[in-house]
Amino acid sequence: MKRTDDQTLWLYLSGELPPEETSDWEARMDREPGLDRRCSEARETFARVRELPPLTPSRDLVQAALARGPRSAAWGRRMAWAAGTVAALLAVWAGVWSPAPRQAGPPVVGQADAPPEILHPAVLTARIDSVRTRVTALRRSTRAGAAQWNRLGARSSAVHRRIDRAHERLQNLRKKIPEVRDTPEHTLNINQRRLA
Amino acid sequence: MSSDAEWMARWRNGDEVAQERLLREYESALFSYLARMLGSVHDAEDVAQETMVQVVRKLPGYREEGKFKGWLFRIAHRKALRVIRRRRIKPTESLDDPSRPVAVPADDSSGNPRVNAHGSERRQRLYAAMETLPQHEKEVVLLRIHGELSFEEIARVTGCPLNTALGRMHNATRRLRRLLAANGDEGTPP
Repeated sequence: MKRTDDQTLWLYLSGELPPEETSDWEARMDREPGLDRRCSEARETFARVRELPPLTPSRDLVQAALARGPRSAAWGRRMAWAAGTVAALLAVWAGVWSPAPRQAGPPVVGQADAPPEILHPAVLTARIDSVRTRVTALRRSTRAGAAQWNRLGARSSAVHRRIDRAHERLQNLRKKIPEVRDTPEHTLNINQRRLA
Repeated sequence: MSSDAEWMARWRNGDEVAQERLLREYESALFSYLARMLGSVHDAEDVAQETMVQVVRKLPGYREEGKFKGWLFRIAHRKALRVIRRRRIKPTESLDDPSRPVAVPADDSSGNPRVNAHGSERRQRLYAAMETLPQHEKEVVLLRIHGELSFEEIARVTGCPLNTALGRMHNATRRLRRLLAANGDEGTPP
């Protein structure tokens, strides 16, 4: 993708510009004083921003994190069980373990003496088709779910924006309370209400 | 193999010293980034700790060798955004509210008499200017100065294209330059 000079400038300053582009860039800086000046300004401002010193937390975060540490083996076993159960349910639902569909077709090869898992290709094809249909249906519902998720996300952003605006309005109103309280009209209103 | 990758390998083999060393290495950078991003020391400590706990729990399954720092900041960044989003939904109201953000000092040395007043004032001006930046620009600058991440890594952490991260950095520095110059900051002519 094409980069602007301002974007390339930062790649150059951070040393991430590929060597072949670096030499071209430096040659351009020699030719174009404007570019050279922008580069020094960016370098200067960044040096100024780096004056913000690192902060130290008031408590030992590493020790606290290590104390909470990895989850216990029992927790791992519980999670493995849960994952196994979900996988098994999904497999059953997808029809992998469902019995072969009864249909008129060529007989199973060697039906009398062959082990039951050896199936005729036609039966297998039917099963594969059935699984494929379910996968397609699943994909479709996932896509529909994603679309709904996006719609909900957009609606939630709109609600957030409205909350922000309402909050701002509330803050402004709060600021006005002392002004209103001090006006003669307000005092008159209160006195009239008291008399009534 | 980079140093981080070596420590990660030792960590996976059950070396507790490696765990602590690797987390200690980035503790201050992570905390500084979060504190300035969230504008609250308490929130930053909580998010940094949660990030480290997640790293401790997930490291055995993590396979991206040598990218520990980027991974750590990616987790922290996501958690920080969640805190910011939560604050928008439920803004803190009362001064007595314990969850109210505690202001982040411009530096650690505010109580140190050896720090000269001029330097401190300079940092305060810089901190105030940083606070005016839009969030997406501020996060790029903070990831660069505290995390010392490359722009490639910053793009991955923030989930934006590389050129967008570079553009945000450029806009942020231009804005800061203008603000600092307007506030009479020497060394930053407009």
